[in-house]
Amino acid sequence: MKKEYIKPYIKRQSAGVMNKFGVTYNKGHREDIEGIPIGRFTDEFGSPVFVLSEKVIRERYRKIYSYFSSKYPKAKMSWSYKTNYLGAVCSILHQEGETAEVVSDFEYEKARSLGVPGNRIIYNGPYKPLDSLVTAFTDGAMVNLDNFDEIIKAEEAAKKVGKKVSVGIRVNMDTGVYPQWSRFGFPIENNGAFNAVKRISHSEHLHLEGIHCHIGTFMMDPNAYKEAVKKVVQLMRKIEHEFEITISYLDFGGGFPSNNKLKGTYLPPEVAVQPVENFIDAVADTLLDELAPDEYPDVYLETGRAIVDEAGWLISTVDAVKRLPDGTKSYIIDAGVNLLYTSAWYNYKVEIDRELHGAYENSILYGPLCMNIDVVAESAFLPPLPKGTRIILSPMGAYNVTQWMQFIRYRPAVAMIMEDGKLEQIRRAEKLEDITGPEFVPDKLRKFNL
Amino acid sequence: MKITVAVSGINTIDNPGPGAGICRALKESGMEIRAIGLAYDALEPGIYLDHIIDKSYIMPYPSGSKEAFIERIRDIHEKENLDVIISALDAELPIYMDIEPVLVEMGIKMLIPTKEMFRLRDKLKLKELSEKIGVKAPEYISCTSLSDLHKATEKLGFPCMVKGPFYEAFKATSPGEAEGYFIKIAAAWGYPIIAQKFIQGDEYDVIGCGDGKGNDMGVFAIRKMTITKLGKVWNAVSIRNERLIEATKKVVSGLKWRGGFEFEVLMENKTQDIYVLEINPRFPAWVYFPAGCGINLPARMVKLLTGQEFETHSDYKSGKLMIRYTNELVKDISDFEQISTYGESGEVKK
Amino acid sequence: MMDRDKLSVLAISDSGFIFDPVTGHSYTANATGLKILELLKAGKEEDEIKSAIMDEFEASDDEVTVDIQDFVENLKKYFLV
Repeated sequence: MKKEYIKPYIKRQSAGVMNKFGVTYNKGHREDIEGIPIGRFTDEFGSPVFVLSEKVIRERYRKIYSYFSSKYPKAKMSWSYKTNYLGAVCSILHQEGETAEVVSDFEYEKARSLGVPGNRIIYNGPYKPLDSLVTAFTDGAMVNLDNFDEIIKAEEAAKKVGKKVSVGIRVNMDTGVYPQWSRFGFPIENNGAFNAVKRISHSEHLHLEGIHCHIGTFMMDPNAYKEAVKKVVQLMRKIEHEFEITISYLDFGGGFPSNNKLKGTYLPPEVAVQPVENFIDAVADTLLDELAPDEYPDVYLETGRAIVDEAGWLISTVDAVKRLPDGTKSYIIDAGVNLLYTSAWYNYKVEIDRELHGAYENSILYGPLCMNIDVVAESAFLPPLPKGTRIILSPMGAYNVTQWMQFIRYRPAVAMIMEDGKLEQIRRAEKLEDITGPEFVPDKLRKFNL
Repeated sequence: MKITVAVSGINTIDNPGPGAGICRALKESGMEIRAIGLAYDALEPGIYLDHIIDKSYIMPYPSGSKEAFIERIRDIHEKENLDVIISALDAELPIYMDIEPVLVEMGIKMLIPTKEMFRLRDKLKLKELSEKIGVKAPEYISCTSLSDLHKATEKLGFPCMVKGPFYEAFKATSPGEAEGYFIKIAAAWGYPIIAQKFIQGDEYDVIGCGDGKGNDMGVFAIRKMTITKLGKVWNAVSIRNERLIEATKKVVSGLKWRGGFEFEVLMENKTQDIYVLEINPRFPAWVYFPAGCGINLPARMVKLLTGQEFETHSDYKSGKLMIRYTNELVKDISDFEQISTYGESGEVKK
Repeated sequence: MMDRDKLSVLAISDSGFIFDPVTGHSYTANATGLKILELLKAGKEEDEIKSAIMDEFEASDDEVTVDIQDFVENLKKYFLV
């Protein structure tokens, strides 16, 4: 009986890197996702493949909504389409009761096509084409305006619709965090927001109904939300008093973090990222402190990442093993930055599909693109991986399947594990026709001899 | 009764951690102490200081997973039956704050700050901190652009201090100089940059320990006499300044501080007013100095955690001098082999 | 032919710890790595090393060939051969 083979290694010891227990973020392996073996996903849908869990999405949503609604009586949530607008994902959240929060005409149409009534859509973003504003006002959507030119555009749209329409304004402010998102909306601090309200209050076509803000993304400090709530409530008081209007909704946007490891953060996300309850506490407790019970407006959260990020994985396959001239171990896998736009700011959790022995090394995961920038993980601490090893990257549920691009390769399938354990394909892998379909080649270009 | 105490920060290098000083203070306390060193690298000098540290283990970095960190402590605990852990490094405190309940369940006790205390020691929260402890803070404005800086220095006047979010501080005497430092710091440490009013005065440090209920377990104040290029105190003299000691006691009572700390202040020359500069949420590297003068805070901490009577007085003499010096040990490559191969040092032969 | 003089002076411990008394560098290796190192030190060629490894361990020819090359590349990087 021969002994089990472990790949040989030798390593020079040098000061500062002599810690064999060193960077063990994500040591270990994963043989299945919710009981389904990794191999089944790749057998059925090929590699790479995105996997989402219906159960986790519902659980995360319910946890956040029930906590929020238990603290604030008029809690509302709206699904941030840009985070993940796959029909199946949006439908789960609409079944749960979330309205749709869109930031473009495309997302607006997508929400409508899934069956969301126009008056259950929040339309945000710094650019809204005139036609889409006309549609949104006709449908009775909640539209949050970003700038003075957009106020004028909205008046024009309202004129076309032929009625006085309700709008909200997006505001920005200093909440003590850097960077301050001052490019979106009207600034509270220098009276920009107040002047916008003044302008709207003089309009024959617009009626102010709400205030929206979205102070940043992947916020680490819940206190920023306390500041935001205080400043928005102060603004609400001031405009209600000055213009005798009633604000019926406040919308504090999104920006809550997930348990993803941001590049440049030292501590693991389980420690560095505060639980979502702390963020909701910051919003809800401050609201209760600042408001009298008879003036509670509807309060929206547009939580995206914190609901869906941890409900997603990407399964990918090692295609080649390479040692670079400087001695660094590297692997070429079949998923690259074309699918993983978020690899620019996260160090994903990297797991493998089997137990492997041998010395762990800091290794680079390269994608399949012919481009130097195609690096999925600069430093994953891995044992020696044979070709064919499946690599499971997570969390993957937020932004990847919306920001992915069709560059060089087809975008892969997306599978969903349903609550009853069944496996469904919710987006098939792309084919040539998907990409050439919208193209036209002028007649004179059709013939060539090579 | 033998008490086993694990201590981190045993890197007694040119930017020393306090671990070796803590172990020495414990060894000289009269208690029967087994001192366990928790190191992050096989060349941390504390591993080789057999006269004060009985055995050392290599720990996973706190930047790794929380589970791996807990698992390693569990391993060590199985072998050593730890009573107390004294964490002495800023970077690992958040993880200990997070896993303290797990450690308590294992029977390991710690006296460390809460997350709220840890948050308040952030440089950007100085104003909030100073209000809570009733001590002045130098006026400061956080800046994220050169135009912010110009507005800030207009308000603060010159000279002013330009400080990084984590490290480095420079005194600027003109807008041009301030701009130069701003760009330099931003390139190295990012934003925000803090512009702070310059106050003419001397810097002092106070070490203290709080029981978490508002009671002070002893304080000890020094004036730094020489500092290293990295800004670390090298020689110091003990002082007795009642205003300073009162201010430190306010940190303990006002914040109900839990654990060891170092309170860094500036005393203005003309008014003798005290300004808070920073609170380090752990014992400083010079922790042995007060122990040598009768204020043995690590020993008091261990006694509190193990349910023993302990002194709380701050009766020490001014004019005691701390002289830090460097020294060399001769060891064998096999000592290094042991710790680097097995992740733990050999047992010290008595 | 690779130069193996430097290998002959290495102090190799069963723990996998290797000390080079000439340069003062130290290294760690696993059991397979130590085995290859001993065989190289004994003057064996890559083919002989490969069969020795395959006699002792359960592994494919392809895998072992690639791994030995990789290991020797590493030794070259450290200027040990």
